[in-house]
Amino acid sequence: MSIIALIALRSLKKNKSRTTATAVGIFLSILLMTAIIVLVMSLLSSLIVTTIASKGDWHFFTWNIPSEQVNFVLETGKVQETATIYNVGYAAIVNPSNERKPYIHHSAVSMSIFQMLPIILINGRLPQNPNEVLLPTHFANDYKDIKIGDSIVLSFGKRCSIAGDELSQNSNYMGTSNEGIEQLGESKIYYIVGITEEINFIENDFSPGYTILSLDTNAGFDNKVVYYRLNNPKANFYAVTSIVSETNIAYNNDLLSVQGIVGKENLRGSIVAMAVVLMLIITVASSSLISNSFMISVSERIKQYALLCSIGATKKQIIQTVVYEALFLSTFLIPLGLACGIGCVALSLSSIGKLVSASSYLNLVFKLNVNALAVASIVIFGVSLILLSAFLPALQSVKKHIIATIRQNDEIKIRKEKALKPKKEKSIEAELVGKNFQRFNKKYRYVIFSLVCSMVLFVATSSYCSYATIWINESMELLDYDIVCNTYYDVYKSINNVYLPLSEIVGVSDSGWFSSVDAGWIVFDNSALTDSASQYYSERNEAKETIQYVFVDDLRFISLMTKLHKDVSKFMNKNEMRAIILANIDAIRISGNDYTTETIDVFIDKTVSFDINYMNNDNRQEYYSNPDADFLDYSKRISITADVISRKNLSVELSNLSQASGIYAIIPLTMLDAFADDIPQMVQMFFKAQNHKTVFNRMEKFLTSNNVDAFLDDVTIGYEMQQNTIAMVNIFSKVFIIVVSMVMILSVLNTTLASVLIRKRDFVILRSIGMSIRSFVKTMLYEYSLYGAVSIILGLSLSFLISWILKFSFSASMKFILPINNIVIALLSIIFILAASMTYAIYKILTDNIIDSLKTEIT
Amino acid sequence: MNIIEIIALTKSYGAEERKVTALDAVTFSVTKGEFLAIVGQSGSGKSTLLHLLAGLDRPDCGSVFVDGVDIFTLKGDSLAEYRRRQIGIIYQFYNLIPVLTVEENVTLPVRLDNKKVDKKRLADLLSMLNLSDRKTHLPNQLSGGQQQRTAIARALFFEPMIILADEPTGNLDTNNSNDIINYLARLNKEFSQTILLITHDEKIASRAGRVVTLSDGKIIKDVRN
Ligand SMILES: Nc1ncnc2c1ncn2[C@@H]1O[C@H](COP(=O)(O)OP(=O)(O)O)[C@@H](O)[C@H]1O
Ligand SMILES: [Mg+2]
Repeated sequence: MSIIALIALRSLKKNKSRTTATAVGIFLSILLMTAIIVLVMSLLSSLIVTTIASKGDWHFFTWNIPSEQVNFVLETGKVQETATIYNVGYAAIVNPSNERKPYIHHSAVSMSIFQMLPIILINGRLPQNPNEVLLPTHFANDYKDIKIGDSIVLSFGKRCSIAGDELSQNSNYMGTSNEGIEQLGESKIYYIVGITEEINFIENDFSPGYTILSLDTNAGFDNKVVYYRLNNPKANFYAVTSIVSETNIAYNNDLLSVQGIVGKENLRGSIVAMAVVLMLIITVASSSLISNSFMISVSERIKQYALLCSIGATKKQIIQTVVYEALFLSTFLIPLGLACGIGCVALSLSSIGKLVSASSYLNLVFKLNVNALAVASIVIFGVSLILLSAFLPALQSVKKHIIATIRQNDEIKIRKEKALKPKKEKSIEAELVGKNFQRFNKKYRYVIFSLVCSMVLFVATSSYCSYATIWINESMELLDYDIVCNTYYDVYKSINNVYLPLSEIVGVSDSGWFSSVDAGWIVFDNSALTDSASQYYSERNEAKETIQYVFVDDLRFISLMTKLHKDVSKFMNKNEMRAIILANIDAIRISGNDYTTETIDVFIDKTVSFDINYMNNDNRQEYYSNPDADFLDYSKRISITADVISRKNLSVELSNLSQASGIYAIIPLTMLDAFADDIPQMVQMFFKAQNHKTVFNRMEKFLTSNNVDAFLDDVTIGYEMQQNTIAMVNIFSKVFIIVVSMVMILSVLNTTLASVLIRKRDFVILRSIGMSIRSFVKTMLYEYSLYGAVSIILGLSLSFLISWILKFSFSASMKFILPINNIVIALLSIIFILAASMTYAIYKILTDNIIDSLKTEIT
Repeated sequence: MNIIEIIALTKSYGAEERKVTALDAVTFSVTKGEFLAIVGQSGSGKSTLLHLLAGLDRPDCGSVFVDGVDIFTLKGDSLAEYRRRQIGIIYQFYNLIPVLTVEENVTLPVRLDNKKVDKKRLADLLSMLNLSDRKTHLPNQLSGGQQQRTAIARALFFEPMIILADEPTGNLDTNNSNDIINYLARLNKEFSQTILLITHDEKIASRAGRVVTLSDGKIIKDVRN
């Protein structure tokens, strides 16, 4: 081995504290970088697999297009795989146990459908020929005597309305008098080979037929629905889909969005953009971690290089020692950091996967994703950073520090002008620390640097994650409720017979209702309007606006008033016509192809009085039948006083109104007769439920068994992707913060401990010349308080600044979040870590043998 | 023949009113084989002179010719080579590489020069300096005298033209000091080695053939014994 390599290797071995500190720093930074890159990549791939699990692995499907056109699409060579569904027909069930599902609906599918669409086999096996069928689980539940292994004889025909139109699974059952099955085919024996979950891409909640699947062995695409999965979808999507007429194609929008194919709702793009910002933060942090870990021993290093220089080592040779040292460290630590980073993420993903599947109704699938490119860039980045960090001190020493170093007084470089004059009599310990602080300026700098960096990184990451969570929540436009139910009975009957029982169903966590009705017109007094509102109305040549009554539950109204700090009694007094109103208009401004929506406040004052040209039921019918009639002057006028409130932060049942443009008067139900002449006939109810599927089934059961005529809708199903995404982003940002905090805590521990251990000799000298233990502890205390104070002040101000800057990476309208909790956590951890490492350092120095310490680790 | 020619060498530190002139137009020459002691009070500029001679620092003005070469015109690798081959430096604080053994420290300049280590010379040198039984020890396992002898061995190993020693005995007791000075005197006598020895000890200086006295950066006395 060359003498240079020997020196490098021996120095690493010999200077244990310094090598350990450097090694830990490098290791942590590689780990951090790996973990973050792998997390982001896994987030993206998890979103994709989660979407595939719920929506299927296909990009679009076509229906009703001739075989030739399908072949034309396939001939482009850009389609990786197709799957087909052929609608065989309906068979009527004799004595159906569910009146709304009197049919079996038979679809013959290609084998590939089982890979491309989310069909979940619960029991049994897949069909292997046209005579074998899979039954859906709800059929098996409704008809318990039919089992796997049984055979059934069925003949299928067309489901047609009386008028002769063919009906599909998309129209609900209209009764024997309105529809029937025609052109029955021959009877065949079908063998039941398996049970699947309901086939929700064919069958809805209201579809009249249970969907059973058999294998379609016919080639050709005539009369089939064809699903396509593309090769390289990003490049080929538009080319392929443009072949098919728009009316016969539909897309897997969720998958296109997470794969970053569709431009407008390009979720992937946004996540990647967020990740890039995060990567920048992490890169800065890792760089500082690594360079810091070298800076810890910078003066020791400079001394060694200077020594070599003085006995005639060339610049090249000195740089060689640096390269060797960096390479030795990289060879061991980069692979270790990579492995541990990937391991960390793999471990957390698998444990989170278990937790989520055990405790949540969401179908999240986690997939670890690493690729060679990412690994390679981490390695390259890590090696260059290590080299650079090691070079800087070497270059410095080669340049100018030789003499100073050889004189062994390199640290005595206090600029006299800058030295603070002691203002008052200080204790010897304080003075010692003060002097040290100036003398060992460089050595202190990196500890403070490391503390500040950690704090800022932690706060920045957490505020970034909260911004991301808010952003994703807002951009996803989730509803505040999961299930909606509309009834057309009068308000009182609806509430007593439908709303109350439904809201008590197990699993409903919040509920509410409102009943709205067009109440008539307000004729404006122009002076009450805001400038933009008068402009808006004058542009339209109008001086009036419709008003709707929104009746709500008394108790919920009271709690709303309490939240708004208003006196409820004023609004529930029949002699005083007072209401709460929402009065905003969303004005659309079109410029070219773009349009923007601007929300305008209608009234200037927060409290306004106006007259309503009231319409009763008869007026309303008149108005609906002739909505173009310019202005209807009804007989009755109602004068009301209204408090204008904001559209934000309304309760569940009113959350729809947060988008409502126009004037809405919110009135408690007790005040109905004061404001209206007739009882409203429509009630909308809103329910929140974690497990919306189960709750929906329970509600449906209640409605059918009580013969309630109502429209029930599980609106959350349509938001599954959004919910999954939000949950994913939330989970990943938690893991993120945990990883970042662990790494930061370790790195701060590393630097503070190393700083003391490397300077052990200084302290030992102090002890050897007779400093008392008490005095020594006091010195350490001063020193650490100084670290703490300086870094907390710097850290806090930088954290504020960075949190504030980060908000702009989302949108200017994003409100500034100061992660107070996290700042407090960061402060407490810094104090705790400092205390812990101080205790350890004191213990270490006090228990070590003085002579040993004096003699070893002189570099 | 003059092996070292020092002409109007001036070096100052700091600026303005805190300016310290460590060397003030020092001029003298050293002939080959001379044993020269430089004495003077602490702060008189002795070390500064030595560092300039070793090419470790640059003067404000003036020049130093070593074997006819102006050393301040040397740059980079040739300066390193000059330090490695032409001179051997001995410091008060030994300045050994702590991770290398005695043997390795001594042969370091040769190995930095990518030359083969002459095993016999190494053995001779170590035995001459009484270090044979310490050759695999690390510096911190040695006494001060042993460390300084190791540093001397390192300085001698390349058979440099000139040996520069900056208070090599400043850190040692009388016995060890005498040993070190004896070695240097022997080197001078037996091998005609040119030696520049800095000291503030009159007794040690008296062993040299010539004593130059510095005060406030100026030569105030130059005496041949
Ligand atoms: N790096 C430096 N910066 C400022 N002044 C210095 C520096 N090095 C030496 N000096 C000053 O130069 C003068 C000569 O120093 P030096 O050559 O070390 O003296 P000696 O070795 O004779 O004790 C002293 O006054 C010293 O304070
Ligand atoms: Mg000196």
